[in-house]
Amino acid sequence: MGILFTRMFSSLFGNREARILVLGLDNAGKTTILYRLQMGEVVSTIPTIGFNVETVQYNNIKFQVWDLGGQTSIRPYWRCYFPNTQAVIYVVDSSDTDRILVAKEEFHAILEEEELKGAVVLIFANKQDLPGALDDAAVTEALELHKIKSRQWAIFKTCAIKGEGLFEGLDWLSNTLKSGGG
Amino acid sequence: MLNSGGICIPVFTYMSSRVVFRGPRWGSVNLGIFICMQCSGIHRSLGVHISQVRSITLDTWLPEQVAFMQSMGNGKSNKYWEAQLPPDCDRTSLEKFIRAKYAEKRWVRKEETQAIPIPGRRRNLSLEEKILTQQMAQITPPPLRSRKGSLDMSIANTPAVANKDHSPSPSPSPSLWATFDCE
Repeated sequence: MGILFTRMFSSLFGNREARILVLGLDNAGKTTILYRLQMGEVVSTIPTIGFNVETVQYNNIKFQVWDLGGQTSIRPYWRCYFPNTQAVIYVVDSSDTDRILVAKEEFHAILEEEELKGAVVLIFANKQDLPGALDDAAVTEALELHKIKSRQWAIFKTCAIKGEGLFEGLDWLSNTLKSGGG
Repeated sequence: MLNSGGICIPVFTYMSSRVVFRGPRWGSVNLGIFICMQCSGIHRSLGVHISQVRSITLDTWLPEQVAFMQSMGNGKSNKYWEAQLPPDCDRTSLEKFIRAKYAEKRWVRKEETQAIPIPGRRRNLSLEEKILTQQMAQITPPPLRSRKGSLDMSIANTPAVANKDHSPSPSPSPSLWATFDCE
């Protein structure tokens, strides 16, 4: 009876699940973001070799968030996680201007993937607290986001260690997914 | 974190425990040092304007990055960053130590902080640019290794190499790093 009620309640209020991939170059802040969203805390991280996966409940959506390692030679393995993904959170170290071009190329390679054709894309211009960090407009330009066609996307300035911008991004994601995107 | 011999302290402890020494598998390409995974996490938290961490086994290295590692190394780097390090310095908190050393430049000789640019952006290879330039001229390019799908390489428009494929030159080792080779 309780389960039935929960299901009815969920369907009435749009409770649903979404599979999210967190991608980006190494040291963009993916793991810090994952655990900031999940626990509300800043954790000390070491480079992710493989993946971390956590469930984050937000705005009646249960996000299953996959954080995949970003080192050069393990990026090709991202595609193993692409099927059934509703959204991609692409994290950029806004202060790493030396590698912004690499970040752009990896980003557009992801967008071309057939299995991610229906996924919405949320970009986090992370590490806004660091000197020389590009703002959201500059990251938009550097990643050539205007080239994205027939896909819903948004970019937010974030600072994962302070928790800034993350939930604004998740708000956009949940609203977009509820309205049928992804 | 490094002891006076230039070896990362967790790695040093590992060596002391007489387990087979496999060496650090991470490096900071702008500081020109090798570090263990634990320290790599701390270095990454400093930001790329302080330290740019790459995996020796999982990342692609540009020839100039390899050459800089060769010209710098942990020993030489520490002579700069730990010039005024007191012998009784408390190293129990790795993070505090590393942050004080590289971000606050606490133990750099004061007159040098003005003269030497902070290693950092734009591949400003910092401390020993003159030496680097000389080294670059002398070093034969490391063997090339084609890696399919590495965007870093196509963008850099320079042949990239995995560090592990690089054979150190037979000339006197410029630093301790060659002894750390993990393969």
